[in-house]
Amino acid sequence: MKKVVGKIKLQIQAGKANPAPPIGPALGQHGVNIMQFCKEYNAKTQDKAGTIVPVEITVFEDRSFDFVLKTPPASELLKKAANVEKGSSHPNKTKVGSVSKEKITEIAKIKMPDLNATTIEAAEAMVRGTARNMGITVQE
Amino acid sequence: MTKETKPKKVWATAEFETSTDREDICSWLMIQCGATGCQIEPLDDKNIRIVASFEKENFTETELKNLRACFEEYYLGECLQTLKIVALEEQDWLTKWKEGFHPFDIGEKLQVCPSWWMDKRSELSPARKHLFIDPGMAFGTGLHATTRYCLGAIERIEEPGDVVDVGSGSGILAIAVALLNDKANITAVEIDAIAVENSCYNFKLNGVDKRIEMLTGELELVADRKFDTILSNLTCEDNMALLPEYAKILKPNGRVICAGILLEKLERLLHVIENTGFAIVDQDTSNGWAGITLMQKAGACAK
Repeated sequence: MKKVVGKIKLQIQAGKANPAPPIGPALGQHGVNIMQFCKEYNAKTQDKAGTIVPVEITVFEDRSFDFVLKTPPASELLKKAANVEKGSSHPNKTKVGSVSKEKITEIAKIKMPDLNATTIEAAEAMVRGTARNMGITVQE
Repeated sequence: MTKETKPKKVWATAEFETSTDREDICSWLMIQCGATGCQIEPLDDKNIRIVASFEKENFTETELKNLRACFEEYYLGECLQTLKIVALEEQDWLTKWKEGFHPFDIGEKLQVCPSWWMDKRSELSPARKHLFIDPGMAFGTGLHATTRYCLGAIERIEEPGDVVDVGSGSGILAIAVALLNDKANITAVEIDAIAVENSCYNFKLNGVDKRIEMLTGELELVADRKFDTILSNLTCEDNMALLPEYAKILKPNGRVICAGILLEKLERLLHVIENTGFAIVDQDTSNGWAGITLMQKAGACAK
């Protein structure tokens, strides 16, 4: 088994990876073939263009790499669920949209593998917190 | 051969520390505020550093104020208490990777060589054509399965005729055609300015710059021309979008070499192939990637 020499986590836009920062410097310091990563990331995410698809890259001692795509940010999923362009610029004053509590559960289930939560209730609480931050209300 | 020196580009990075549970929303917010992406560095079990990159040299006072206001509006103002703006100067981020890039053979006729082997020609394989590549910040070193398929397919064409390389990247495919075929008439089309620069440099490196016409822009630049060979090492989605256009600019009995197709997406491309009147005449898969050669049905011979 190859020895792991580094792990890199990036939040980047689907289908738009290029060798500029943050990707270039993050991968370059480990001697990774940056262009190969960009090509593979873009090929795997191009059909999700317009969203953020976080990625965790594992670098091995021979400079080869492997990567795992993570779930999109809850804010992104909430934005879609509430059918709003973006969150409120004044969430404490303006509510920009609403989502059903079933949607919150659905998003929590999607996010569960990447959240620091052991139960679905804890994951739902995190998603509700993000919704509050964005000015999106939850229909109970 | 030396490259022209030009001023180095500078990026501004916004760095700050926050708790792990705020990684998603803080990164998302930074990207909403114009960041090209964020790197997440773990500090301990509960805390991370977020480094957001911006395509500008610095933040003005007003821009910084707006950034803070944006975070405050999302109840995240406290996250920026540790905010630092750092300038990041352009470097060759491939330097370390290049140490491990050595000449390698492709197919029966080509040897792909890094540009720094120009002075060591005597050590290269004498029986092969040497294709020198400066692996800059453009796609195409020949190491990837998709480029390998294209290079192999190019080698098998006896008379490529009028050729267009769509999205030429480093220029590796256009150069291969020029090195293997004295009579080919080659055009490269590329939308990305960095790739165009890299292509032109590599054309000169191989002494084929006079033989390849480089066009900067979209495929429509050649919409009124006809080609015998179309090289399309892009992505599955790009190929799906461009196949109907290729049908219009391909000469009878011409071929399209398509690569950059993830195996899991090939099925989707097959529908477009069927609908645009193409048939697959050659196909190969390697490491989860597919490369295919297409001809229009009337001239296609089943494999």
